[in-house]
Amino acid sequence: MKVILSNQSEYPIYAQIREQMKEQILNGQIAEGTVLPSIRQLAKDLGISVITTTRAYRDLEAEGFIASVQGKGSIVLPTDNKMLRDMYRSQLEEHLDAAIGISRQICMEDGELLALLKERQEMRGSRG
Amino acid sequence: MKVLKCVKTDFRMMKNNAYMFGIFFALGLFLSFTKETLIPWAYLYMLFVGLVFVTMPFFVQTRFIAVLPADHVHRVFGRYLYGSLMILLCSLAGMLSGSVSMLIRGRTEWYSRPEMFFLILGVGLAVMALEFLATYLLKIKNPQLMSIVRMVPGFAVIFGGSSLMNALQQQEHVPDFLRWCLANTLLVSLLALAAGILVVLACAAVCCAHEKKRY
Amino acid sequence: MSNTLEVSGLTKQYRDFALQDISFVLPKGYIMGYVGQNGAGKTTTLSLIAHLIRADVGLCTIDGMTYEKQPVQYREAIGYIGDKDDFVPDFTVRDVRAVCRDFYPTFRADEFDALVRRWKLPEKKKIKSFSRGMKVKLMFAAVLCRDTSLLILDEATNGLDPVVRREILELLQDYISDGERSILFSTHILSDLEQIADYIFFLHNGKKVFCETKEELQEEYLLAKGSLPELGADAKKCLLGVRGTDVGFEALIRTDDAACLPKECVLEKPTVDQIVVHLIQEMEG
Repeated sequence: MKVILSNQSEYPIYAQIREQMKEQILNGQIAEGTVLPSIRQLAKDLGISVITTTRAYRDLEAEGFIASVQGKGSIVLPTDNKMLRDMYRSQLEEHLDAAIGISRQICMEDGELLALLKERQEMRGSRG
Repeated sequence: MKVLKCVKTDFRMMKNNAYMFGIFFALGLFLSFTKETLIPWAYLYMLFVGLVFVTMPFFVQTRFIAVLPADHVHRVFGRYLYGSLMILLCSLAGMLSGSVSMLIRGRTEWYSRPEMFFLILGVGLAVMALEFLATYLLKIKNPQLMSIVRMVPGFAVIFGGSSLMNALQQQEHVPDFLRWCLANTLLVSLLALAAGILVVLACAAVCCAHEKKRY
Repeated sequence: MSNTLEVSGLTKQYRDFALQDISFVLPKGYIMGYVGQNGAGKTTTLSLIAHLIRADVGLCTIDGMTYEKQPVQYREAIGYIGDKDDFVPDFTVRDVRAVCRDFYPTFRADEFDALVRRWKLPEKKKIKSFSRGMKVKLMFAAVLCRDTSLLILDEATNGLDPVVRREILELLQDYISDGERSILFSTHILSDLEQIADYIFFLHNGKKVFCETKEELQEEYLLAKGSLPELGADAKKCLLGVRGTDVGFEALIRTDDAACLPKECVLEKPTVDQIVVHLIQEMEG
């Protein structure tokens, strides 16, 4: 498990922790059933405030990624495919928004963009 | 007991100046070889030294000492007990240096007897108590002024004492009261000691009440 | 008792300065940064909490205890680390050890010795010959080796080199790691608190300006940079503590008001330092 924070990022620290952990859980890098470091241990290791890590864990719990067990700490819950699909789908939406943005910048027609998409899909289709 | 710990701490604050005490004692011994009115001088001299140094802990107060979990009763009584022990030490030192010279000169006047010790102890305690009272109640900020003020009691004692000694030596105009005193030295000295102790307790109580209002 | 420290209505009047109606709560296991300019009243507040001086009005409890009811336990619960020379200058490490043993029943002398060895503090030299970093480390050794509930730091990291500062900040995080003890850390060097503080209390001219979690604070404000002539009157009103130059301005703005700024303005996440500086400028007019 790793958490690498950036002070320059536009995302607040708690969000960075949350997103990085979420990604690792969905990737399987953090196995289900793993007991995460305690809120205070994580704060100490990262050199940040306890309230920040508390918030990150709270968000993760609210989104159903972890559960806090009395006396043991926070445990990673099993992830289902729907969650994976949702995560990747929102990534896809971001990429598509970026593509649309660029295409409009160079005054490309929406129809032209769709054609470009099909072209790329066919090119990769054989490779899968 | 916490009061004893406060006493220990006060001595600890002073201990770096203990060497000065030793120097003055040696100086006192040397002087007592040369002075005529040996023994009273020895006592007065050591008392003077003591009275100047005894207020030291007041000026070494720092936050580490101030945050210690001892309440004002412990601190005040501890300070007064420390002061009394210092005065006792000075009186013993005076007796020691006086006795050495006495042995050399072979004198046996009234002031070579234990009564002198009690008298000096009583006077010393009373002056110390008043010195502490003044230090607790007056908050003189100016350090130069403060160092002058600290010297005053010591000088008062030494001049008062030596002029009294000179007057008695010359046997001129000795008031009846003093004549009676010289005739009843043991009683007078014990009364002085008792009075000194009472002054110490009274001043300590006053300072306690004063300190309680501060915190 | 889930709060280490509860302060309510603390007031102290001096001839030319007054601390007015200070109230806040510090829950167990957290660090509160107590920030403000020099002369704002930080040391006065801490002295009142440690009961080195008496408040005119107001109440202070530590772990539910008050100084009036339990003076000895109250004092034992506090570890005070200051910036000025706290120790008697002629004392040695041994003297400090002896006094701690005398007065603090929970003082662990062997732990103290271990720390002194680890930090290479000379045992027999007088403290007045120590460097500032060594003095602070000795203060920590004296405080960490006994049971306390509240650590009060009064500008304790002033004058320390960055390496020692890092060590101290790690010590502080260690201290709260069991969730039972708290730290009240007064400083005007905010970079120290940037990372580890949970709460920030901002004091200005003896009065409380705000007391919030650092998270809330950083979400409440944004740092705006742009060009003044390009702003409308409405936008200018929203700016707090404007620093204007020939080439642009820098100011604080509430996140809620950020919409009234033109798109050309750069908006950034502010540091606690920047928030405090701009707010002070705004208040001083």
